[in-house]
Order: sequence, then C-alpha cells, then structure tokens
Amino acid sequence: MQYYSSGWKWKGDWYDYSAELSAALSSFDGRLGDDIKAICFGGTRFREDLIILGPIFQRHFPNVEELVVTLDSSERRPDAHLVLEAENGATLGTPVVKRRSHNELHHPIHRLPPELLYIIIENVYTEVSYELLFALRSVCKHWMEIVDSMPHLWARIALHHNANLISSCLQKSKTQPLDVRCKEGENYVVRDSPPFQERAADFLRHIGPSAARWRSLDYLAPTNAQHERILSLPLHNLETLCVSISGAAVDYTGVFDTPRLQNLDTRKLSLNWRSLSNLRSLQIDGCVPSPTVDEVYILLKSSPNLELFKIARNRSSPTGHTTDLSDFHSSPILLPKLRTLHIVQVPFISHSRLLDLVEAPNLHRFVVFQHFPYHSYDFTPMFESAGRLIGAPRYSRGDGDTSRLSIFGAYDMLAVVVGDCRVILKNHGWAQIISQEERPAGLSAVLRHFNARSCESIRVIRLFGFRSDQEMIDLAHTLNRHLPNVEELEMKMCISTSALEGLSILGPLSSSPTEGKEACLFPSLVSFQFDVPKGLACDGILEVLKARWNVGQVQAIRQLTIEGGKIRHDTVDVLKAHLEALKMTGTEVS
Amino acid sequence: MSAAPQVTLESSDGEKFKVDKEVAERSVLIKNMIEDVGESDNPIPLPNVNASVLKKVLEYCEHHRGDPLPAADADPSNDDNRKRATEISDWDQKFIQVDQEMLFEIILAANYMDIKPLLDVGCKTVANMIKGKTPEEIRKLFNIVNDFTPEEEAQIKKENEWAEDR
Repeated sequence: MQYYSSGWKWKGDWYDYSAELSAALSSFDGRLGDDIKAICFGGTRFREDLIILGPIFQRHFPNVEELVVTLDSSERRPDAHLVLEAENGATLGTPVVKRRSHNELHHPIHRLPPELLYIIIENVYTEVSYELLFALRSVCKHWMEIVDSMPHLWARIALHHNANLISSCLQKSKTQPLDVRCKEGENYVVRDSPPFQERAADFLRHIGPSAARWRSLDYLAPTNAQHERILSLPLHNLETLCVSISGAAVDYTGVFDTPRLQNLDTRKLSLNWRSLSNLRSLQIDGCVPSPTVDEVYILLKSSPNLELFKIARNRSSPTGHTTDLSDFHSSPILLPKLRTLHIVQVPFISHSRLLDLVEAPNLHRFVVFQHFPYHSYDFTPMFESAGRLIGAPRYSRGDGDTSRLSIFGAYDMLAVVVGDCRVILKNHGWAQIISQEERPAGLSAVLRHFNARSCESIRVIRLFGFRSDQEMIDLAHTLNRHLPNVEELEMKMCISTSALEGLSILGPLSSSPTEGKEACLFPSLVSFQFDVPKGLACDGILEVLKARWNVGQVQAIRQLTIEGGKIRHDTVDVLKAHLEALKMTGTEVS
Repeated sequence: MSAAPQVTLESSDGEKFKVDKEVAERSVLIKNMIEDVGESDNPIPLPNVNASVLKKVLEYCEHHRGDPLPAADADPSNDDNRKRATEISDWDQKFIQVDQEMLFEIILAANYMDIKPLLDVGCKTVANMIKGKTPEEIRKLFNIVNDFTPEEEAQIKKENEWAEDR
C-alpha cells in the first residue's frame, strides 16, 4: 500500500492529513499492525509530522524496529538528523537506523531513465539562459550529472564576460560545435554594467581561441564595435553567420575565412562577396557600397543549392544607384532548390535584368516590396520578372496545379498565384486610391510575359479582394485578353461602398447576339461563382446567362454558385430550369 | 465493406484491449512486433504498461490515427529539433491534464511503446511545469531531495554567481 499524495501537502491543514492517515491505519487489523517492523518516512514536513504522527504510529505499529527517513530540503540543516533522532526517540522509542541520502521512489519522476530526463531538460532549456542552466543543475546530484553530461546545452554560448563561466561552457561542451551569440542588448544588466564594447571585448578574449569550433555566429553590434576582430578569426567550421550593424553601414574588406559557410544573413555589413560560394541561404539588407548587381550574379551563380535569397535596401554605388548588370553576365542561373525570393526596395531595373537570368522551377514565394508610395523606382520591371518567373519557365515547374490562377488584391498588394507559386507585389502607393489603375496595368505586365503554353493551360480563375467594381472589371478584361481557355471563374466582390452600387462586374460577362463573341468576356466559361454582400439583389445574373445562351460562339454557363445577396423566387425557378447546377449559400430568396 | 484489421493488446495486469491495427501501429514497438511475428490472434503482451495507462495511451493513438508518422532518423541533438516548439495542441493539452503519477506513467509507456509524438507531449508538459521555477520550487514540485553536501552547496552557489555576474 502506498500513500503518496501531493494534495495533502498543499492542503495547508495538516490536521486533515493526520486524520486521513489515522483513518487509513485504523483499517489494519491488530495482527498485521503487530507485524510491521519498519517504517519508511519522507516528506517536506517530516520533522513536524513525525512529532505529531509518532503516537499514531506507535498505537498501530507497536513493534517498529527500523525507521527509514528521507529528508526534504526544507529540513536540511546540519543538525537535522540529530534533532530527528532525539525527537524520534521521545515519540516512537525507535532510533533512526537508516538514513537515505539519495532520492528514492517517492515521486514518479525518479522512475524516469536518464534519457527521458534529457528530453525534458532539452525542452526546458530552449533559450540560452545561464541562470536557468545553472538552476537545473542545482536541483540535486542526479540532475547535475544529467545537465553536465549534455554537451550541446553548453555549446550555446552567449555574450558574457565571466571567464569562469565561458571556460566552464567550453569544457562541458566537449567537442560539440559552438553556437555563439554576441548581441548588443542581450544579457544586459543596466546597473553597473560595463558598456557593450568592453563586454564584447572581454567575451571575445575568452571565446576567440575556440573560433575553429564555431558553427554559428549571431552578432549584433554598433558600427564601431568588434566586427573586424570577430570576422578575421579563423572561422573554418562556421556554417551560419547572422550579422547586424546597428549604426551606419560598414564595409569590411579584411580576411573572411569561412570555407563552410552555408547561411549568410547580413544587415549593413558588406563583405568580400567574391570569397563566398555554395550558400544555401543568402539575405542581404542595407549593405553599401556592395554587393553590386554583378557580385550578386556571381554569388547566385556559385550557389546552385540556394534555397532562399532576400535582398533589401541595397544601393551599391556611391551615388546611391546600383550599378547595372554587366553585359558579360548573360548565362542563365539555374537554382533548382530556390523556394523563396524577396526583393525589397532596390533599384528594380537592374535587379529585373538579374532575375531574367534566374531559372527557379521550384520557386514557391516571390515577394517584391516597395515601401514608400512616391518612390521614384519604377515597379514595372518587377511585374515583368514575375511574369517570366511563373509564366515562362524554361524548365517544367516542380509542383502544383498550373491550370489555376488566383489574383488577390487588398490594400497595398497584388498577389498572383499559379500552381504552388505565389508572387506578392506590395507597394504602399497602392493603398492610396489615386493609383487604382496601376494594379490592372501591373497584372497586364505579368501576363504579357507568360508564354503561350502557360496562358492556354489556365482554366480556372479566382479573383478576389479588390476595392472597386471598376478595378475588378479592368482586371477581368486584362485576364480575358491573355487567357483564352478560362472555364471557371470565381469572383468575390470587395466590401466597399462601390460594391453596393450594383453588380456592374456582371455587365462585361454578358453579350448581345449582335455584339458576338468579341464583346463577351471569357467565352469558354461554363462555371461561375460570385460572392456578394448580403441584401444586394443578384437577379441581374439571369440576364447575363440569357445573353450568353444566345450567342453561338460563346459557351453557356451551366453551373452557378451564389454566396450572399438576395434573389427573387421566379428568378431562381428560371435558373433551376436552365442550369445543370445551382448552389446558393446565405442567399435571401424572396 | 470489410472491417478494419484489429489486434489485441494485453496490459501488465492482464486486461485485453482490441483495437484497430492502424491505431496500435502508432506504437513503433507494436508495429515492429506485428511485422516480425506476423498477424496472429494471440494478444500482444505489454508487460510494462498497466490497463489504466494503456487505455489512456490508446485514446491518444485513436485521436491521432491519421497523423503522419515522425521521421525515424530525426536527430534530437540537431538545431532544428533542439528548437522544438514548446506549444502543445489544444486536444493534447486536455488529454495530458492528468495527475503527476499518470503523467509520468504515460511518458514511460510512450517511451517503452515508442510513440514519439506522445513522448514529446509528455516531456513538454513536464518541461512547462519546470520552466520559471527555482531549484527549490522544482524540488518541491517533484519531491526531490537536495542531496548536496554543504561543501557542494557552497561550490554550486559560487558557480551560480558566475551566471549572475554580468
């Protein structure tokens, strides 16, 4: 029989505990009680418990010869055992014959094998915190052994100027590769803390000699800090470098010996770009005066396994304009693993020329972002690059259903999705109503660079999120011009005042017999779905359908889905009589 | 339509549980046993798991029956795995709201039966209980005895000061 209950401990009323135990023990018959020779006793309030429970035990177990005790930390004091023995002698008349110095099976955590405690501790220690690491190893001897035998916990070394601590980390991490963080503002104590410069210098003095073990370095510092000293170290095993300068941009031209570097994320720090190759991810932000577009070309060309490339705020010449791509760089750059491409606030013409050479058949996300509404950069080249990347691949695309095209426009963005590839063009200028015509023009630029095969293969269009019916009409005309085989169209009206004016978007979908095929959008359309605000009359759709039924060269719409809006009974009856499928969701029929 | 194949599991205290093979095979141990000895009508003994714990484990397996299985070769020491999120899904959180005795029994059973996602949920739950606590609070939480000698305590105090000394 085992009496274990954390509930007792937290009740805070120990007379309850006594009463429960007394009641439990009273169920022992006399003979069994007489046979009890040993009591194992442990718990947080052992001493006090024993004084009061002693008589209870004595009454039920008169023949106890051995008392095994386990002291809780709250009872730990140099004379604890002596006190216990004296008090115990007075209450039970039984000396403490055995003391247990190690944790026993009083709690199920002690049944866990070390490998499970490893996993638990790993899950506790997810962020570098020396206080936490040292707290974990201060729990008991067993936990200390476990924590000290996990070298990878000690291999994460953050800015600290205590030489003993760094030395301890280096020793306990054994031969593990080191992940080093030296970041301004981290582990920062305001009171009496030396300036970052001094702390970083101290830290480097301790950690620098192990540079050959560094696997990653995360460095954030002011312009005039320790970057030269760090970057000139022999970082022979460095795989990941994340460096950020918090002041003016820095051009580091010294030694940079990182033959194994795979991931580079640099903000405001230019490097010897030509010494880099075989990168898996490359992020460059605010670096001046380099890299030039030529240097980026060489970087991309020498990194065929690149998976991620982001370039932002890069103006590389002293005059603030990126030098253009040299003519001698004209061979294509095949990046079969490239999934993510971000172009942010850079001179778009030169970068567009660079992107024209990129082949990325597995590109998943291409983001172009222009922050400022009235920036002088011309956005058009990026539309064209987007069109070429997703609509005119020289190699077959990796995955996704390329017969589906989704166009989404909201606030300051235009997203074009083909298959699994999403192109997001963001321009804060579009958030202003004044530039409404830019997105239809931009979409036209994208589609203009689709090849014929891509255009012909698109059968399904989703068009949603736009601000006004007129913008939707313009976009629909643009799509119609480029995509001849659209069979399914889904349009979601924007929620704006203009949407409530009427379903003017339906107009271009209809055509009179005299106007013929040319005047009618999407002549191959057979399935149409539209989503309108509640209360908006949708009966006009019947005229659209009738008009299309009467034009010989235009396919009849056979499937119709309406979400929201309201419609008359008699309209529904006619629709049902002529359509193969009519589905209405949330539509008020009156 | 034919019924899904089933297997019978027998707990350490002799209780038998008939479950869909697909559910039982969330346990790599059971999956390997079935592959090694072939399907049979004999119950599969689980001598390290009692009925109440096995019932709970099977509830988890049933809920997650369609989930993709984790990669067998995931290296727990590598960077990505080390940065495993500490979040637990809502259902798993409710599932694991048990007393500490049962929680650790589930962890032991998940380890023995080789059900990695359940082991993760259990270990993360215990980790979340530990986070933010002082050594003394951790000891209280798990009834751990501070077994350091006064000399060792003094050394620990000194080392802990290194970490605080910034």
